[in-house]
Amino acid sequence: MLTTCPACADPIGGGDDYCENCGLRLTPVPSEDTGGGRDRVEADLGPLAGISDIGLRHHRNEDAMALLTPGARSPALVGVVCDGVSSAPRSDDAALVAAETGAAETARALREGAPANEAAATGMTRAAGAVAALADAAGAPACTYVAACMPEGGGPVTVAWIGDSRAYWIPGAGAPGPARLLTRDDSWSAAMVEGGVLSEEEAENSLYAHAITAWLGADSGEVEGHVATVALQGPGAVVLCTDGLWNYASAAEDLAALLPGAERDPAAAARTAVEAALEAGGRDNVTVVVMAV
Amino acid sequence: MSTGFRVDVDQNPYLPLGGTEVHAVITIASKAGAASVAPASAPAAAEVVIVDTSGSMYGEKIVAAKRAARAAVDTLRDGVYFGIVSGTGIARMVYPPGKALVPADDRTRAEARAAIGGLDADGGTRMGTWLALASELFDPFEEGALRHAILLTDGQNNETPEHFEAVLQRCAGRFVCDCRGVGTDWQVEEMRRLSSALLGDVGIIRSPDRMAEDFRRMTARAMGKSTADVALRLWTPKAAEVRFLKQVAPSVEDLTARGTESGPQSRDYPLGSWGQESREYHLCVRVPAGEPGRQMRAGWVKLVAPAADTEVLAAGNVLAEWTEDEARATEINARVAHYTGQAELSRAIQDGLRARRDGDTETATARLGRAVALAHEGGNEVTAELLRRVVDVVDPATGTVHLRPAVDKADEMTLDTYSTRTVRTRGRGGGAAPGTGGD
Repeated sequence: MLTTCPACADPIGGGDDYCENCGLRLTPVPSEDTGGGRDRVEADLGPLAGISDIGLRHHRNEDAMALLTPGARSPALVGVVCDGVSSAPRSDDAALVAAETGAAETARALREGAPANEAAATGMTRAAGAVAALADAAGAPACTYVAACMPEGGGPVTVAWIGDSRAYWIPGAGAPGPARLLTRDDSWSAAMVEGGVLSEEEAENSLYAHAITAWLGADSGEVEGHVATVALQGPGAVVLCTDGLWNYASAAEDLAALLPGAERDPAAAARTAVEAALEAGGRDNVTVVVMAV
Repeated sequence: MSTGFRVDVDQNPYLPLGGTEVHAVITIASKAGAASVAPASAPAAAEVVIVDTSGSMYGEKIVAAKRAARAAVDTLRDGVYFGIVSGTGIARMVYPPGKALVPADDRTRAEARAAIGGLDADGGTRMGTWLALASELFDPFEEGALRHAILLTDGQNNETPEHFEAVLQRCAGRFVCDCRGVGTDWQVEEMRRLSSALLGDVGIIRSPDRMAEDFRRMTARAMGKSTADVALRLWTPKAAEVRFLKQVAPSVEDLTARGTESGPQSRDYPLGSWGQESREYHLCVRVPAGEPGRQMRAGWVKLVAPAADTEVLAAGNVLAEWTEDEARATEINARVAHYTGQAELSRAIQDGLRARRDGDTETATARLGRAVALAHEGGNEVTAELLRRVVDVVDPATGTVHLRPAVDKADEMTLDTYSTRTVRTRGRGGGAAPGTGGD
């Protein structure tokens, strides 16, 4: 037990982790916290697969994902991807809690007979509550959220999101129509482009390209998430991802090119996409979930 | 135990070797949920409406001012102590007749409405005397009671700046005052000085028929406050220096010089009264450099209020850690970057308009051009629109502009009063976007 501060030799009063005189942290915490073994997580459930990877530049994986396939716990395929907001404390916890709560609560609502869009909204609302509950004196953890659910045996896909994690539709061989983005970012750049203030290129190159305007967290204020149900003509795949992937391929057709054969082998496609992001620099955590339709 | 308040700190705590400047954006918010502001627990409140009745108010303006004062009276909830003051070369009680505020009820509101009807426009403008009377009226109310005034004027103050400044110093901390200017003969800088010293805001009422609605809104907002005399208590390490502390949202206000010592290495910065709201502050502290791996607390932010059950409503830490990892140390927190731009935007507009008034075309063009670029980059859409009424924009990204030869005086004053307003974003902190040079 220290009685004087090692830096300024002032007596230590106790009751706090910092010297009352010079501010030195008296109980240093390891700064290289790896985030509880989440550097790389892979899941392959057949028609639903995902990978979450720390990337090459970050010290912690603050992304998280949760996957459910039809069975006792869920009547549908449910996938959720969340991206912790790095500027908030313990955002890795926020992402994990949001993904797991969102998937479980969406499945539960579906099991209780709620229509898909209602179930997806319930899942997101419960995830928001769970993240808000993490807030304490040290701060308010925060994360983004994107989820997709599809009934067993196919049918319309329901997407729910808040923040700038995205869902894309990638048509397989023989399916009509082009690849497309199914979500709209809650981001400063999206607002600028929509308002006609900046071009898409200017917005993505701006200093604030990564500022989001809505998120899950106790400090987010009144937040409105988005829910959309889309009829998709398969074969194809719905891809959920964080900006760690779409930063390298924002346009739908560019992203589709990173996931060849996604509708046939979701796990292999997810692996190919994450590798592409790492090869391009891996500047952020990368998470991809692929749902075959 | 929950006090209903929270303090959140957003920063990059990593400093390069030899680095000494720690920046952080501090968000202070009262939590949502109106339950904590039940009428039974509402603090004592006092409201004074000061109406300029100088000769220049004659006509449409005094008619609108009377309507606005009545709207304010109608908005007061029962039991709030109130009074109406008319200001000319002297300050005079309109209602009640004596210098003691009365609680609002149906009878006093009706009497006040009748008294307001008798107002005439005639005389000079000496705002210091108006504020001095208001301060006297607030005297019987203790710290912790909500004390708010509205000041309406249409002209310049006819007092020496020294006298006016001395009155402001005496009134600071005694009550909060929001200012409204009607017409275009008043001075934005003078009113901004007043509202800034008294922790209120300043606005232009461009059309007299909007005055009543504006007064109703201001009064309702004052009634919505639930905690009076909130202060930010900042502890800093020995040998550290507070370079600045600025409110940066919802508007820019430099608080650096307003701290008063409250204990060893600790200063209190008054923030006024607080309702269901969130404000953000940019803190910059200079600390002595440390060796790699050293972690320290560069600032300890506490929120305090005299009437609270607990001394500290909420607290947060501003940290510093030295590292040899240059990428980490040089990454600028996105919110710190955003608000640095917002504060510069406010300065650029005020500098530009001042230069324009002084006939210095070169400086005005440069500063207003810079403002256009910053507004464009920061997403300040309203400010950008107001700027377009004063300059012709050639290229918003680079800030290439031409001064407009003819500008509506009211447009210029609207831009000036709006110049301190900021927009919020939340930085993602995550990997830099391709092309931003984050690597």
